[in-house]
Amino acid sequence: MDDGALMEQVSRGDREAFAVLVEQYAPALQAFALRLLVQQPQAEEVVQETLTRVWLKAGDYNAERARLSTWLHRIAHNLCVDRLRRQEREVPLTPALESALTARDTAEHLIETLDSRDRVTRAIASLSERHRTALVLTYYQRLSNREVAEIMGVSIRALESLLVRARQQIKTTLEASS
Amino acid sequence: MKRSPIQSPLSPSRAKEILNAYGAEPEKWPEDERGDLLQLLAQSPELRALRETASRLDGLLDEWQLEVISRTDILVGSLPAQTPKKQNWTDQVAAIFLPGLLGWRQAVLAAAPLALGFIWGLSGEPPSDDWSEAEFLIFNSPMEVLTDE
Repeated sequence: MDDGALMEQVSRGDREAFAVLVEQYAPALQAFALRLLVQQPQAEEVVQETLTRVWLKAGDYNAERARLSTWLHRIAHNLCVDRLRRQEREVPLTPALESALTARDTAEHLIETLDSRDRVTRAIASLSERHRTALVLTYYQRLSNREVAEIMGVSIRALESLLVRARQQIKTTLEASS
Repeated sequence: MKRSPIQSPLSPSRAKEILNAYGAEPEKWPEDERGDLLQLLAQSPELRALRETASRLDGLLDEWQLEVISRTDILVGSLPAQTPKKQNWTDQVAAIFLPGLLGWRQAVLAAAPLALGFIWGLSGEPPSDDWSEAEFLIFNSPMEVLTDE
């Protein structure tokens, strides 16, 4: 079933069609929100809120304007950005990193205790919200540059600039921590 | 002139930008530039070295994998009892005439007759104090009006 037909059914209140939509898109939205917010409970709340909005506003979706995946990511992105701005501080990292910070708060100890995956997580989490969003949508969510530019409301050139800086900063952070 | 098969419309600087922005995997590159970039890579050791560097970073980024648990039942079960809002006729009409202005559609449509009346009123003849013609039309029979003309 194509996006337009699926959303048409959802807009008529068809819960089975909505279950298909959730099955198809919720894992990607969950991964996206988790990569942006890092915290599992917050990511789950964002997915829940995104899907509730989709359920209530399914009639607003226009398949001629955007792919369903793009529309869903745009809603989730807006909700994530709202949360990140409310937090007004850098998001906490993985549980391993949090426990390391509370145990012995020295940079040397921190670097020793983090395995490679944690270091990557830390490097990505240290990016600004714009750089992280650009990287996550393009690299991990595998959306096209046009879709990502549309979701973020930037030009493709601006998106590429964000991506170059994001990758460069991750590389520098990882090199410094190894 | 026929283009040489080894020529590519993609400049080396643009090729570097793509590798630095999107990494080493061709499937992540912009679709319309993918073929040209592969062609340039085949000719340029410098670009191949840059791709190798990008590939190492990709390998590290790939370590950040997440375990996502499917929660379809919970998500569907927690939907509000309220059913989706269907677009009403004003939304649909406004969607045709004012695409992209969803929040303003109903207000604009509601205000349109008022605005039209206002403009019509301004553009008409100035009001007159002479009511004799109106009184004649109201207080006389149709036959009298017609014969008078």
